[in-house]
Order: sequence, then C-alpha cells, then structure tokens
Amino acid sequence: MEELVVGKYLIRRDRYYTKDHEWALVKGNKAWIGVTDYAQKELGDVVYVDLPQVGESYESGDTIANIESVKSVSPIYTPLSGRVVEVNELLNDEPHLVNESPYDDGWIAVIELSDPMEVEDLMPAEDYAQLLVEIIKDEKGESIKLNLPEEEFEERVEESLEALPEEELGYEEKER
Amino acid sequence: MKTPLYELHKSLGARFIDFAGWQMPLEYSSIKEESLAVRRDCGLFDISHMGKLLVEGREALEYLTSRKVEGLKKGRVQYNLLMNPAGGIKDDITIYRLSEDEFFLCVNAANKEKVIEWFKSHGLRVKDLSHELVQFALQGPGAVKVLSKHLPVEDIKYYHFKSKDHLIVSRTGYTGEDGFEVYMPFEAGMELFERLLKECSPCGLGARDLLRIEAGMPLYGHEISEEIDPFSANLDRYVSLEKDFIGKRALLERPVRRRLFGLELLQKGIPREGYRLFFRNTEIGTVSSGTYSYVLERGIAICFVEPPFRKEGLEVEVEVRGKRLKGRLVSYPFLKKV
Repeated sequence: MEELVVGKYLIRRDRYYTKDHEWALVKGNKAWIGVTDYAQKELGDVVYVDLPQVGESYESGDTIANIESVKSVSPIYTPLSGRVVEVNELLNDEPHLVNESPYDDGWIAVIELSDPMEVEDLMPAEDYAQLLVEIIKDEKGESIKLNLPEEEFEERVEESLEALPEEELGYEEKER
Repeated sequence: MKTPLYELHKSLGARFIDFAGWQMPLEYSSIKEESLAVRRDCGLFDISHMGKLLVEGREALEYLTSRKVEGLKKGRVQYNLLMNPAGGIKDDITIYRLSEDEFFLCVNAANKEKVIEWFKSHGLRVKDLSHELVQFALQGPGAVKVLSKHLPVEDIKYYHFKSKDHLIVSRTGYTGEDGFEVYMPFEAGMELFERLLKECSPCGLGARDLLRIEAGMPLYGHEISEEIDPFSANLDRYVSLEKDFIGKRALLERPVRRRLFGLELLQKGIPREGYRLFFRNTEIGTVSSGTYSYVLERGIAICFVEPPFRKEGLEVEVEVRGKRLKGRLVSYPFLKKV
C-alpha cells in the first residue's frame, strides 16, 4: 500500500484530499468519501456517525455527514458533487471503524459524480502531506522537518519507506 | 499559563486545550480509556490550574457564602457557594478549615482574580498560594490503594483532609468516585505525580468533564454563574436559610423559571450545550452540559427544565441539527459510587 507518513499521520497516495481533512477515492464516475487519519485522531473516539440518505444529492462543500465524538460534533463536507448511491451501514453499529480504519472500512459514502472535473480542485496526497506539515507546525507548535526539496519528495519518501525504519523517514516528529 | 507539570504532559503525548488561560491536557490516550480507567481502577489528573487561597476572617466568609461555615470542623472540607448581591453565584468552592479563623479555599481558575478582589473588598485577608503549589487528583476505586503507598491516607474520611507543613490531602474529587485531591510544593509534588503514573493512567480535562457530568456535578459557566441562582442550579442543599448572607433576600425573591434536571437520550446522538428540549411541541428547556457515557452507553445531559416538566421518566425530544431525537428526563447523578 502506498502511504506517506507525516509525523504520526498516514496519507494514502491513491486518493484526493480537502483542506478539511476529507478524502475522495475516485473510480470511474463514482467516488468513495471518508475522513483522513489526521481527522480521526483529532476527533478522538467516534461515538456516532450521522450518515446521509441514499439518493440525496449534494454540492461539493455541503455537509454530507456528521461525526460525533465526546469532544465535538464535526460536519463532514463532501469533496465532490453528486448523488449518494451507497452509505457505509456498518458505521451504524461500529462507528469506531472511522478511528481504526479511516481509509478502508471507515469510509462514509459513495457518490455518483455530477461533475468529475471538480477532482482538479482537490489536493493530491503530496499537497495534503505539505498541509499537515504546516498544521503541525502552526497549531501544535511542533516542528516536523521536511528536509527534502519538493521535486525529490515523492521519490525519496518511497525509497525511505522501503529502506529505513520509521524514525528515519523524511518527516520527523520529535516532540511526541 | 502552564502548570509545572506541562513538560511531563507533553512527554506523555497529551493533546492540550486552553482552559481559563491555562494550557491543560485535554487527553492523553483517549477520553474513553481515561474515563473508564477512573470508573474501574484509577486515574491521575493535574489540576494545578485551580485557584488556591489562604483566607482569614470567618465572619466575612460566612456572609459571602450560602452554606454555614460555622459548623465546619477543623480537618473537614465543605462544598460551598460564593453568592453575589443579586442571588447569583460568584463561584463554587471547597473550603478546608485549618483553624478557628483560617481557611484554605480551592476556587475555579477562571474566577480566582475576581474572588480575591471580592474577598479583599469585604475585609478578608487573602494569600494566593496558586503559584506555589501543584494540585492533582487521584480518582477511582483503586485510588486509596495506590496513594497509601506514598502517603498515610487510608483513614481520611470522605470530605475530610490531613495537612502537614505545605501538604494537604483531602478525600474529595470531581468524578463521583472515591479518591483524593493533593496539594504540594512544586518539587515534591512533581516527583509524587511521576511516581503515581507508574500505577495509574494520566487523565485530561476531557475525561474530567465526562466524569463530572455522569456524577451530576456543576461546572462554573455552564450550570452555575453570576446570573444563575442556587435553586435554579438544583443546589438547595448548599443553601443555609437560617443564616444571613449576601444576596439572600434577592435569592428568595427570584422566581425559579428553569431548574436543572437530567436527560438520557434514547436514540443515537449526543446532547450538547444549548440544544433545546421539547415536550410535544412546547419548548421546555435547554441542555447546559452533555456528553456520551461509556458506562451507560448513551448520550446524557444536565438541562435547565421548566419546573412543571421536571418529572422522572417524562418522554421528551431534543433538537439535534434540525432533527428531534427521543429522550427521557431523569434525576441525576447518572452514576454515583461515593
């Protein structure tokens, strides 16, 4: 599985991201939607997921679901416009799947895209990784060093994932 | 501001939250694990942000509080309310009687400066010890076993304390469990805190809030405030009407329009502060604090409810993001062990 690691957060390279920490995995004219590893860690233990109805249509940026944890209720904005064709019913009984498997079993809904061109407005994994680096630096006051030039980023991370133990990855989070 | 234990919390992987100007641990592992640790065994909370005051002047203190201080014996702790002239609550505090005229007070962090000014303007002598002592709480059924390895606490009774030099240990807490609150000078306190960590989990303010809601304990700014009187806050038992105190007359003249009561959700959801309660189509109250109880496995809340509707078992609805969820009114505490 192709993954990037920023601090203690995983990012999948096969999908697109929003600045609000949702992901979209596009296959043909459909997209699977969920929240990122960073999002689930920020939310804490998920207690309930308020899922959308199959058949409902949403514009990108609309609230498609709400995730409840003890700390807060967080609206989930759909990264892309379209009609909901499937929801992850498993989350009704096992909301913790969002924490345990945010990129796989914790998916929230599948939508049939009404405007596939919108994908271009989303962030590829590398840009989202950069966003996380900034967030960790700004909000948490912890510096994660991204010591690679942008163009070498992809190649080096892949190489390091295979070759190096985790603490020697290009990203380091010293404080935790 | 940071407590002396801040760096330790950071090294334990805490997530922080700003609370009354203090950078406090919100959670270490998770609110779920931490709250269950306290219910099943024990948990350790840094609460050094709380205000700690040494106060002299019993008569003035008597006049400023709703509950009789006179009968409080040396070595005992009392929960009490500081009243304002309008019958509202200036702060909720615990009072430790050190001697005939000397008291140690634990006050809310956010209210500390206000309370010091208030005391001084009423002729009390006040010394602020907040920045000289660490304060932590060890809470849960296993707390006595763990703490007694380090301090002689087995024989301290509920709401009693022992003190020696600058050390105070009381059998008190904010979780509804058995447990202790410890006040100590920095170095010794930090050392003991670290030692206790070997036997119990650190817990943050997230778990503390959940536990106090389960235990039905008020939090300043939510269940009580300058605008809220003790009767509305369901705290009648802490009001001694046989004594005179500031705001007493105003208090007796104030109507109680809404009064605290408990709510359990019967559907999936978490009732949160400000959510509205309905009986059929009539709005009957609002949530003041809500959470999800891992022990009860449902959403629970403390709510201000119009008195005619404060009925055990009354089926009501809570408005959650435009939808109405079914709930049931109940008296609280939702959980109580001590």
